[in-house]
Amino acid sequence: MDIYISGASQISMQEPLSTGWFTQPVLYDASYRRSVEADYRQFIAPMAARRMGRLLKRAIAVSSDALRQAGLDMPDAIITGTGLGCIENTENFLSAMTFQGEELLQPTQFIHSTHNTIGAQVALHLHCHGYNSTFTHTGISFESALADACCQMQTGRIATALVGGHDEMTPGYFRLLEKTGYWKPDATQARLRLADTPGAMAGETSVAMVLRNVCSDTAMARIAGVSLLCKPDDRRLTEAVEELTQGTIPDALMTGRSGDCADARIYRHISQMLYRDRVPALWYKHVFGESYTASAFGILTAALCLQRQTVPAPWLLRPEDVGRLPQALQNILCITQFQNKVYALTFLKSC
Amino acid sequence: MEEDLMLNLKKQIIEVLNLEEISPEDIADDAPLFGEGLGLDSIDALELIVLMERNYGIKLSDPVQSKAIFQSLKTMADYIAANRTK
Amino acid sequence: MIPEIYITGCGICSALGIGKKAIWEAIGRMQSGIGEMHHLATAHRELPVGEVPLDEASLRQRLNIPPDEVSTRTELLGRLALLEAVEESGLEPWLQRDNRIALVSGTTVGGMDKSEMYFRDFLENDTRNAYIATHDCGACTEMIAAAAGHFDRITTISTACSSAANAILTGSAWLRTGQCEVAVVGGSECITKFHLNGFRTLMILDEKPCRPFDASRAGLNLGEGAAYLVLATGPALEKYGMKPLFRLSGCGNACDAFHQTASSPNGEGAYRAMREALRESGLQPADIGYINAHGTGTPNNDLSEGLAIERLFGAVPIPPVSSTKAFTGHTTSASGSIEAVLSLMVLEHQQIPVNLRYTRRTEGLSFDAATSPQPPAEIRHVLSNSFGFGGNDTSCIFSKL
Repeated sequence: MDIYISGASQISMQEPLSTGWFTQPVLYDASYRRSVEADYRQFIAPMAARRMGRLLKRAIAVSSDALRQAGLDMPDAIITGTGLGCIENTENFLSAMTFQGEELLQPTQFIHSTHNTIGAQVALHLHCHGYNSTFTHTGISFESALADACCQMQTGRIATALVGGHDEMTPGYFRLLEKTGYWKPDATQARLRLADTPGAMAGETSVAMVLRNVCSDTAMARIAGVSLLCKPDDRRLTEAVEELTQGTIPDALMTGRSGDCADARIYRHISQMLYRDRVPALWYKHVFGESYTASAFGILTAALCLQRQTVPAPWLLRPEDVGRLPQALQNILCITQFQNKVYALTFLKSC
Repeated sequence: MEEDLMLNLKKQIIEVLNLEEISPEDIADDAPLFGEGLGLDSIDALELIVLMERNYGIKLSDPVQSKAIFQSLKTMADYIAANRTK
Repeated sequence: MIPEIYITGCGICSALGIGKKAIWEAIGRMQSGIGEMHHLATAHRELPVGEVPLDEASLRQRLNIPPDEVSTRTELLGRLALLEAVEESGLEPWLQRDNRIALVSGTTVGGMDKSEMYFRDFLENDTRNAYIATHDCGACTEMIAAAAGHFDRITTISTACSSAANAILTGSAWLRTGQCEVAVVGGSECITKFHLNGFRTLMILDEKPCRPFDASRAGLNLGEGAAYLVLATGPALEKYGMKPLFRLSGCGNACDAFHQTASSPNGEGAYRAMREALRESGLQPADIGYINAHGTGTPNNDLSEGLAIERLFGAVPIPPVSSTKAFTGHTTSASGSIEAVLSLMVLEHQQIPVNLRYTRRTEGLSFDAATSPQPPAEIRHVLSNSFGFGGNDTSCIFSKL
């Protein structure tokens, strides 16, 4: 079955609702950057927006923008990936409960604390009664949603889908994860590229993609397949890649390298093991930061590379690889893993 | 006194319900808070129940009874004036 | 050609007990698991709940967990249910590398029981840092999985109270598209202070034992537990030597898109989910022999769901309907798989779990909840509903072979 990414939009630390970052991203030297907010009034009426946290507003904005690009009013399905859900509301409710006790708690904080609030609010906004699901599994939350969309298309339940990857990073949660060594203190672009110390740069993710089972003028790339894997050994990973790419050597490998040293070792090993390091490696987390659904940016960037038939320099892990890219880009293998526990492979082809 | 209560209540409602685009003068004393009028909904009603307890010491446990109290700003203020414990 | 999906085993724990046998016996005795609170450290001890009757130490002991290993209650409940499911299906020895066995688990609270217990420590010192990484739902699924063996593919679903039902749906879609050979599906959820207080702010908790569908119903009681089902297609039965026990005929998922927490007055999402499940099963309303309703006990849900059932059946007589939440409490994210396992036991024993504490019909509905365990006719297909906040409505149909 052919499945196409027919529209996509993002809000992140780059310019919101834009693709200007594709050729000229702003490269931050920072441990933590929050997203640049868009003007949400063009998407949501003030009465509807007043209870929404940032994450919900961003989700509605990128969803509306992706649907507009794809020329689709109503998707058959809304499928969301989020590692932490509406963590700001969760934190607020938890904090009030811990420090003020179990009285006079605010219902809105609770109502908007669940993971599926995002998909539900997008459905409410669009009045969409179609299939609606939310996946929340660390670094493969977005790919789980993407894989579900592909499955539901293959079984004929749906023909179009709005797939989202959404995570916010509050200062509070940043500090908690900091305690577990998750972030790189004083992260710089040079340090991230070198990846010789622990930790990543924290970012936030709001990505929406519209998938269709027919090719249209707006199609950016074709999704040839998505694979999810749990703790694969080299043999299983190789087998899964072969199945997905049917033996094709991809033109480029979009890796989820975060700048963390252990994480970089894993991607180096994969690149060596699969392709003896001969396929140019791309990365994106130095542009968007790390978050549970940051891999959605990798797929978005890869789709843009295939659509525009170019890989701008900022995405190349090794600048010298530019000469190894073919004239005509035919496919990119996106690979992401979370702490070597779960893996996701997404194989994209040009339309 | 009554005037003060009305104005304070308006300010509190605007704050707790995040009615950023609305100023106290926009809320008519007799206009319905729910449906037409201000356009509040059932989640707002729950937030108002919390507001009543936190700011005025009034515990409302029956959502049906609350509906009558939250009819308009005036009915709310009258109920507070008669039942407040703080 | 869509392959048939078989169920080769299942496992469950809830306030009614640990394991299918204990639970079915309690239902036969019409003995509710809802009662006084024993384990949750909350200020609202007066609220009746359906707690799994074991504290954390006993759960850990039962699962032989070494003292230095961290655990969360959702994980422990999940492990209990998963072990029973893989044991019954005979999957246990196959949970190793090279086998395409997947796990899809539903939860919303994840490791919240520990996060709320240690939140102050998280902020103020480093004594409980190990529990920062157990907070999220994915970590919870991985901890449940690791105890059973190796899974080739794994993910987590969180659609509030329909999470486990959507795990069943997703697992069946993975099987139908060849993403795995066997899919273990279900969900786990413990009661936390977080959602107990959350539901309390919504004023939908009954201070007395809940009365689903009854005219006097005044809200729900929270419950907890876990359940998993082992799904497989024909070729996998042979490969792994598993015996088919039931069939998963179809699932439906729709969104009410009406309100973040309330159901639409006409139950639009519920109706669409049930209709879609029938469509996927290729069944007619008249084929359904029993409906395990979502039936939370809130005035809003039960009326809305009842009207959606009436609309689905039209002129066709409505089969017996009951909510088992009067037995188990509302087990939120786990309810979809807990009630799926109860539905399978209905198919096996041809007995209906009665709708406890039902005395008077709800105004506006044309049918009564089931109060007799005897079905009027053989039950070949059961429809099980799970509806969540955000209007995430899912229905599954389970069938005899």
